[in-house]
Amino acid sequence: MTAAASASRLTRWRRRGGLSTLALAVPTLVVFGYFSWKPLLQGMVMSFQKWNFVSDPTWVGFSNFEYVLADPLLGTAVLNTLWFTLLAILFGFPLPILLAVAVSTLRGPSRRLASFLAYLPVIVPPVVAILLWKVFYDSSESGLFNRILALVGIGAQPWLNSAASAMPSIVLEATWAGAGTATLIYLAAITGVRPELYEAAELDGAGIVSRAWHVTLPALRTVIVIMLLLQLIGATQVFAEPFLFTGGGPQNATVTVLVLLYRYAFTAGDYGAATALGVLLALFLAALSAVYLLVTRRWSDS
Amino acid sequence: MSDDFRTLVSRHDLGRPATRIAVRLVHVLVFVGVAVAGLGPLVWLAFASLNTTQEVLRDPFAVWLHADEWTNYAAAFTTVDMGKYLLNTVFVAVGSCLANLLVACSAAYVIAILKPRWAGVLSGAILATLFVPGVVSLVPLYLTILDVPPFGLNCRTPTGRCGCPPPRMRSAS
Repeated sequence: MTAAASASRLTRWRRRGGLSTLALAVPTLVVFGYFSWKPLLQGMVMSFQKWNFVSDPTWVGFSNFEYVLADPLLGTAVLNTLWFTLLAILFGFPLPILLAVAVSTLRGPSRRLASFLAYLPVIVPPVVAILLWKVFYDSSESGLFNRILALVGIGAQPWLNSAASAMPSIVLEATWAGAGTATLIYLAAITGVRPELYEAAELDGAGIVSRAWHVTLPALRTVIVIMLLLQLIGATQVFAEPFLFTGGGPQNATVTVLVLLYRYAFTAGDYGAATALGVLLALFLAALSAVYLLVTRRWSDS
Repeated sequence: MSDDFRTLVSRHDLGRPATRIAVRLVHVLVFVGVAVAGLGPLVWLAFASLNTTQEVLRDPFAVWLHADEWTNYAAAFTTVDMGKYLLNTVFVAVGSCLANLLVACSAAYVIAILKPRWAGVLSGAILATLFVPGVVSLVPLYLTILDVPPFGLNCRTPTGRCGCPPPRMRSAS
């Protein structure tokens, strides 16, 4: 009886197209399963294992985490990452908002041209952009940036060659490379601001600046809240810039968490420590996102 | 479009000379800024590509003056295998584009149109991959593409291995 009932349910499921639906989902299941979900789970498993590449990995409990947390370089890497994030938000967060508001007051073709030019750095492949800026940052007297500084009477800067100025130099390039995307997103959001609001504010006697402050910015706040979170997460995971500009130097001044993770995995061959560090960073980011969304929830709801 | 005229700055604002000058000044500054920042490095790169290495390093400001080294472009194809690299790039771009289209279209059709009972679980599982930071799967993903069993398309094959030899290879040799 029950077998017959379940058989008839199966036929009904098949006749309703259950099988073809499942077939259509196969590419998604295979690709996401093999290249997203499996590595994700494997990463969590590997953080509790030791790999020696000869025999099978062995379970080692929390010793990978202990190793990572005891590494004296971890503190440096965390501080460097926080320093990068702070600078990247300080420069890279307000700039696209200001740029988008300014560009939004342009009209027609000149507005399209301005947003195209602002987006150009994003089109340059990141590696090309970084290697290009590395040439600009040439710390000798004849370096391009030093030449420009010399024109206004400022002496040659060490740029990437000194522990103090390496990170700000990296942030400068990262801001240049990332501002275009954020500007386009803010521009699209500004387009959605209802013009009646501007008219009403103008009738009430608000000038341009106070209209931007009291109408444009409040209308953007949901986008701003999300963009700040995305920039925070992106900055925390910075890798290509310090890796290609300095490789972590000088004096480990630009070793970020991901550079350290890369060294664990591909220099030391310690996959367990690398995935343990990855899990720690992921937990931190998840906690950060949760707290952030909780704190800003009242502010971003209208 | 008439709506284009209703931005932050109104027509009435532009009627006042002082405001008009200030707005125009901001516009000029924005244009100079994005032109220098967006176009500048690319234009410099284009001119630098027509100089010899010594010329670029000696005086990066003078790349406009002797941009005549057209042999650089021929050298890119003869000294390094530029043609092959371009083909590799096309292969990756077209391949990932097609795979993306296939997966995204079929998944979207299943979730949004066919709506089986497990559609919510599937879309949740896809969304979850966006929220978990990629660093967790960095190393396992590397191991995954190192060895894709059903296709034999391994980065570890002696003829076409990845740029960074994995430690497993080093200990084996």
